[in-house]
Amino acid sequence: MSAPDWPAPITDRLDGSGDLGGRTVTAIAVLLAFLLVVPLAWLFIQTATLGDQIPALLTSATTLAVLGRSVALVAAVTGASILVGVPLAVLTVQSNLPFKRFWTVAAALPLAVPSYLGAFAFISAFGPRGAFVDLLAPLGIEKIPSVFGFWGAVFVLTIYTYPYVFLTTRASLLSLDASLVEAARTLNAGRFEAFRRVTLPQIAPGIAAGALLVALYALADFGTPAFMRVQVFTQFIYSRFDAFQQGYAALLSLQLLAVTAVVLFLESRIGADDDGAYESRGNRGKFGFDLGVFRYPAMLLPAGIGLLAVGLPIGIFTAWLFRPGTGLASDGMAFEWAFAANSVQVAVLAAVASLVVALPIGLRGANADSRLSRLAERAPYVGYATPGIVLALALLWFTLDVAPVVYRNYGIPLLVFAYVVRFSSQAVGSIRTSVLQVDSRLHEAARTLGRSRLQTFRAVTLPLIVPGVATGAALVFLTTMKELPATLMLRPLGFETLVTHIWSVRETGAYGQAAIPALVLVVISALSMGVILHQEQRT
Amino acid sequence: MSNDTQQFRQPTTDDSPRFEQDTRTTATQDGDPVLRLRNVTKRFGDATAVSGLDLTVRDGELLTLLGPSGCGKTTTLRMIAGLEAPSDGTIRVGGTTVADGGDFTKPEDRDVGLVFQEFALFPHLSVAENIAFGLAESDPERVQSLLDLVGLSEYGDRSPTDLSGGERQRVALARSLAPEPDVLLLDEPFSNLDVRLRVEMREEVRRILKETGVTAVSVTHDQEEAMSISDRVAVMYEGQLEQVDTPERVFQQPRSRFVASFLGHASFVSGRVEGDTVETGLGPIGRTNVDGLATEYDGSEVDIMLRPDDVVARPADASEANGRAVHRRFLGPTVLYRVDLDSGDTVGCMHNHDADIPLNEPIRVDLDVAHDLAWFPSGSNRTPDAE
Repeated sequence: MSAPDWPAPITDRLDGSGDLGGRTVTAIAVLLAFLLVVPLAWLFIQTATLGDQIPALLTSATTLAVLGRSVALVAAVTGASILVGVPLAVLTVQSNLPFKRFWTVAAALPLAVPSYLGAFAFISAFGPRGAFVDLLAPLGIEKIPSVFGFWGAVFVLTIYTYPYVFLTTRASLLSLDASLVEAARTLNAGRFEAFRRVTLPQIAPGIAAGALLVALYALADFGTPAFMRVQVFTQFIYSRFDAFQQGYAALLSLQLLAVTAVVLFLESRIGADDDGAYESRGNRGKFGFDLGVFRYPAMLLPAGIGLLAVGLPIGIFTAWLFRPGTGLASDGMAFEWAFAANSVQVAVLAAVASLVVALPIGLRGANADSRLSRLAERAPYVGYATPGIVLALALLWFTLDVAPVVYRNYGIPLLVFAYVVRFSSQAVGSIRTSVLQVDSRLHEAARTLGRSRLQTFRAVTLPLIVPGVATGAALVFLTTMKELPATLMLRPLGFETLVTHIWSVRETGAYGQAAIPALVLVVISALSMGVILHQEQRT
Repeated sequence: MSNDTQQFRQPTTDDSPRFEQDTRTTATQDGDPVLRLRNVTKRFGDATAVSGLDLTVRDGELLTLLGPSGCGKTTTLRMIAGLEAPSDGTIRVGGTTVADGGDFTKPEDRDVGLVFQEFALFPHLSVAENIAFGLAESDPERVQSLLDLVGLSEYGDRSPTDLSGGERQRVALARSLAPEPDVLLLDEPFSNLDVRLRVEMREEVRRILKETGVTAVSVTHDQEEAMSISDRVAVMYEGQLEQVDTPERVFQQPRSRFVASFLGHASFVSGRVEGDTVETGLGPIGRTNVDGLATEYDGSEVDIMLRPDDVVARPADASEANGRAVHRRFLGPTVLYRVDLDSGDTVGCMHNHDADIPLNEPIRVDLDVAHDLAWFPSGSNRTPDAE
């Protein structure tokens, strides 16, 4: 019997990064998991106060309607995103569409607009007394179908989330082995038959991965349904909270968490076999659809969507700038740059705090040895998947019940904590990726050259992972700037940020006041999209 | 020399060395031991990667651990470096015990350098900064002299990512030599280079190591590389040392059939010791021409090991013939014939590329050797004194 070929351990206990505070990491992650789970547990306690009302509330017509509407919204948005995203991906990868690179960027661009801002722009344009109606008025058309409601929300959510499907499908298409399609063609399958029988089955995991991101987003989104006035879970929970029906809000939160868990479960099932679909097998030759006479008209598809999703909001917000009543001191709701400063302040704090949490976890590497630390490592991701409104409610009640002094005097730290719980996973992922890219031989080389573990970390690991750390911090900063529900519910009294200001403007109707913060947020979102795309290119 | 035994080109006598001793080894024969492994064992879970290894490397010597993948050679290297802790046994570097049971000196506290297979140059540092990495304090002169040593005098400011494979290896070597380690380890140092560069770098690395006089242990699965760069070769198999000897001896006097076959093509010709001769399918061979075949083996069955260049074949008529060539493999400079002897043994037979031995016709195969032959008792995998 010959001895097995020993693989060199990627991170053995002598490795530079491997042991860097293994226990500290586990402790931090466990603490984080604990801090996350305890407030969520408060949801159960709140729910329990309902006592024997629970069965009645669970089966009440209102609850069932909210559940049904939420599921329907998720299903409709997901389906519509596939219908928009997949053809666009095929068009920009496999067809002879002119200016493909330009249209690729254009098709991904809607990600750069927070969907609630899109919704705001849409109701401003197409709502009652909106810009569009003003245009039509001279023609004698006084009423158009209401943009509010279910289908309006489906429309808005779709045009801002289909890029997830577009990007994942595109990645699958790019990694597809061209010779497979060619083989199908030589076996006498027509162009469409080859797509259906060969291409589609292979890009299906990519489509599914994007679709599930869309589903999670649609389920957890707070702002868009609010602007579109659709009573889905997030909205209904907020209204029950507003009406001081804590128990009912908690019950609904648990229901929303359960639905989220179902979606995540589906995702984990699909994630299990998607590695093959993303793998490049080389041989990415040219093949594809000749659009024929539709070659130029086909550009209308990405152009139309781009105009709707990006052009319209920017146009509307810019128009607001010049509308009467935008005057900075017109009333108490006036925009102040102090709001932007507040946004930046909490976002910087969230980014720094997230690094403190994410660095040790990300450095731990992929091979945590104990089950406890593996479990704890997942904690940031659980936080990411928890809808913001649920997390905010849970934290709010928990602090009010257990330590009201925190809520009264430490509002900002509480807010930052919520951001860390929700977004630190982005930093963990970014740091983890860069750590994995550092060859473990470099640590060993430094060790054999006389550097201790800590010195090795300083001299070798740290300089090499700085870009990943910076990216992680930037992502947390940018997502925090855009965050709506937790900011809304946990901010200290009188603490206004860009986002909360837009929210108040929506309630008062003085839309002009939202122009500057909305445009600032669009720029910030565009930056975060740039960071993500840059990061994807690097890996 | 009687005419009825196979002819040896240069009959050896007892008072002259059996084969020419390479001058490069003599200097190290009596050097002080710099590295000592005693009963070193490494277990991974239930599997034993290295078991009871004893090895001594002397000052200024270049020793190569040679073996197939999975034989434990890299694990051994990593234990010497301090990147793995032995499960058992002691390791001494210089005068210091660096591993002994539970006691374990960390890699940074050992005077051991390691050149990695993929070179592991720090991508964020320049060539000069890489070389200076292991120096306690800044020493531009030393860095420059190392750059000169490895032939990269002008490369100090470059980034490692801009270098070719051979240049990276030179930098890696210079970096490991900078702190003047007691022992320099090289992990498959040439496996990342293309074939032509590999041969060139073997000479170059040996020159650099000898110029600095460092004690070095290299690891490889390439027997040609091991034999061409080393003062001594340690052949490993399944976690154990099979033989530690000069390249010539492991090749010509293997102590086990594994060593015989791993170092090159080996044929085994069965024979019977009868007095002062061994009767084989190639005819009688003088007993004194077989290494260590003492009189007490009279009457026993043995296998004589032959390298393809130990025998020559020629076309012959039926009365002279003792076999026939059944297969011809063209190797470029040489041709390897497989010959089925009438006795039932098979031997490999090497000829120049222009040789034309007819296949499947009677041929005569004769010994043509200048050295003693190795042998194994029939049915045993090792020479008697190696057991």
